[in-house]
Amino acid sequence: MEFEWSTEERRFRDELRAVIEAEVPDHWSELIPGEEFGTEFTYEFCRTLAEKGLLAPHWPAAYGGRDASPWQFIILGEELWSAGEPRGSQYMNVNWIGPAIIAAGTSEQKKYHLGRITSGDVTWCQGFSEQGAGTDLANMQTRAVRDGDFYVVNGEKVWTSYAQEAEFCFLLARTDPESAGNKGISIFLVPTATRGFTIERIPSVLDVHEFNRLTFSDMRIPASYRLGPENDAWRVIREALAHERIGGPRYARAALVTRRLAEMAAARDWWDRDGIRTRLVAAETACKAARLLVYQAIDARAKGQPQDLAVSRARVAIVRSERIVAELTLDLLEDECLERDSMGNGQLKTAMIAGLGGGSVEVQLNMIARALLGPGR
Amino acid sequence: MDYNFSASQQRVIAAADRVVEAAGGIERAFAVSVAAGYDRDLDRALADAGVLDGADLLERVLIAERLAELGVATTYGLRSVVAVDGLLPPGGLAVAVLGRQGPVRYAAVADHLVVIDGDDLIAVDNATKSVTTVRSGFGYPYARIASEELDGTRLKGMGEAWRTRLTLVTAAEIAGNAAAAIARTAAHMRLREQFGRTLSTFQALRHRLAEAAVSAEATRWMVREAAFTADPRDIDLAASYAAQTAAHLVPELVQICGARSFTLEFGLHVFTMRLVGLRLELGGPDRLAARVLAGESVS
Repeated sequence: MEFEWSTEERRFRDELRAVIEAEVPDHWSELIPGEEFGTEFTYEFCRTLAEKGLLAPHWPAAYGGRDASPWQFIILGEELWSAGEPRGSQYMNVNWIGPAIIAAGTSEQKKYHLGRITSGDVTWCQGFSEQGAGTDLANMQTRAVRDGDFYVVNGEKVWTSYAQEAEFCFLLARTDPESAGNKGISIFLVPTATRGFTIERIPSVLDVHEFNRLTFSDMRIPASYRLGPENDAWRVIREALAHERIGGPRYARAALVTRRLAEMAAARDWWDRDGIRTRLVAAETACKAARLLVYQAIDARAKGQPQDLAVSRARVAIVRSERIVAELTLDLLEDECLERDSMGNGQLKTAMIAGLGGGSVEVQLNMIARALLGPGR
Repeated sequence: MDYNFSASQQRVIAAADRVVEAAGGIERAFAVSVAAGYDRDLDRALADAGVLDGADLLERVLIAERLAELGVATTYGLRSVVAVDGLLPPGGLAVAVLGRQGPVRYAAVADHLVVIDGDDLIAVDNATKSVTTVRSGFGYPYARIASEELDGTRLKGMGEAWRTRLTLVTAAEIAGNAAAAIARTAAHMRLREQFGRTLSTFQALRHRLAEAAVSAEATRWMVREAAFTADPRDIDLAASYAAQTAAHLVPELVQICGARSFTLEFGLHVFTMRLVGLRLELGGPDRLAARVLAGESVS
């Protein structure tokens, strides 16, 4: 057991910081990750990262990465998330969509999609949640019926981020209506421009983050769009979700907000209000606790050891850190938070998302409890 | 970065476990803790075994965490981390901080009493004349120190280092106690039936235990990382987090286990009451926060 970054990891972080310093406009550090996506700048930035080999460094070299370790993956996330996530929605591509294609794709799918992702030229969205299948994802009802060399898809996905700009959707659909739960589900890699695929914005209070409804009406797609085996996609989905749950290192940005609050406290002489000393330290420790638990999961991933329990604990800690920092921000900045572009509004909205994006955090509590107590039935 | 124990770390932990086993086993040792006693024999056995020969600070902290998790009643963990400088002859150790008002763990029974006095240490001679055992229910024998009667050898300039390591070991002991308290609560939940079902099937309770387990696990790693870096600020952050964890866990685990958690025969109190005692030794949230923000030690 030791907690030292290697020389290579330090160098990697320095390299990233230099790129961010040179390429990302100052206002980005004020943005909530996901607030700007699919813009000309995010494409441009991703292409720059790609040219420098920094867009998907943790991917195998055979697929356009540079065989970087899972540690470099999390360093990449920490630095970019803290900088407002200038990759826009493309962080999803490199965190889990590409790896899912590497793990389960045909050679044609790999050839078609992976190059686009590693060159920073494409955006994706995920077609997961439905009105009746949010946390209970396995209850999804969207159907894909085989028709020769095609599937015909009907159904609806909701609360989908980034869909307005996305060129592809990582879509889950039930291909065996007789099966229940996580059996009988398949994955499809679908161009959003496909006939029968419509996207409609769902107005929300989140304002820094958009939601969409995806509707599939007799959408006819080639069978070659299916990723992995028919009816048996759950293993691929689980692996993808494990990446998704800690892929956005929210604690890194929350720690940054905490430091800013401490600076503001000094500048505005807030030391006598709202238990600020105690709460600043509580916020800092919450962010650090989340970071150390994420590192535990990364360590397991790097060693090929089971990581599910560590990922679940890390996610719970991440959500806590976001919420603690949000509460402190609101209490300190008071009515300044009422403006949409305020730090308080941004932190509140990202904390509201934290426990739900990537699945309800209560699922992680279930998994931790299962490890401690058994299945509970 | 490596979260697995090294061979050397495994060796020191296994060695401590073997000593506990050879000294009559964990049941005997735990029985001493149930009565808030002092296990002088085990303290000596651990020292005699040379468990920590050549150990670094992290290994010492791992021993303190492990002994706390086992629920034994020795000062060996405390001594292992705090007295790394080899100043003291063998024997049990109690450490007091001048200016703190409360009683001191093991002060009436340990062979050595060391008082941190600002930048200095006082290795107290004939400690028995300066201490008075107090009534207390926080899992350890506590005694009050009469600060005006402290005679001993003054060691200049070592106070801050001892204070920092005292903070570290107290946090490590919270980590060990927290892990044990959760394991005991989980074991109880699997067996205890109410309304025809085991407690382990009630989701409201499952989630509360899971939340507690996240805090306990994070505490371990905050403390271990702080022991590795030996950075005073990391240590203060770990202490603050450990105190928050203790404050969170105790009412939760007591509530989950019910009224039996008040009884000595159930045994959970060894861990829960020690968690309370240890966090009170660290100090309240404001004291700990001031220390972090000032980047200096508070006592």
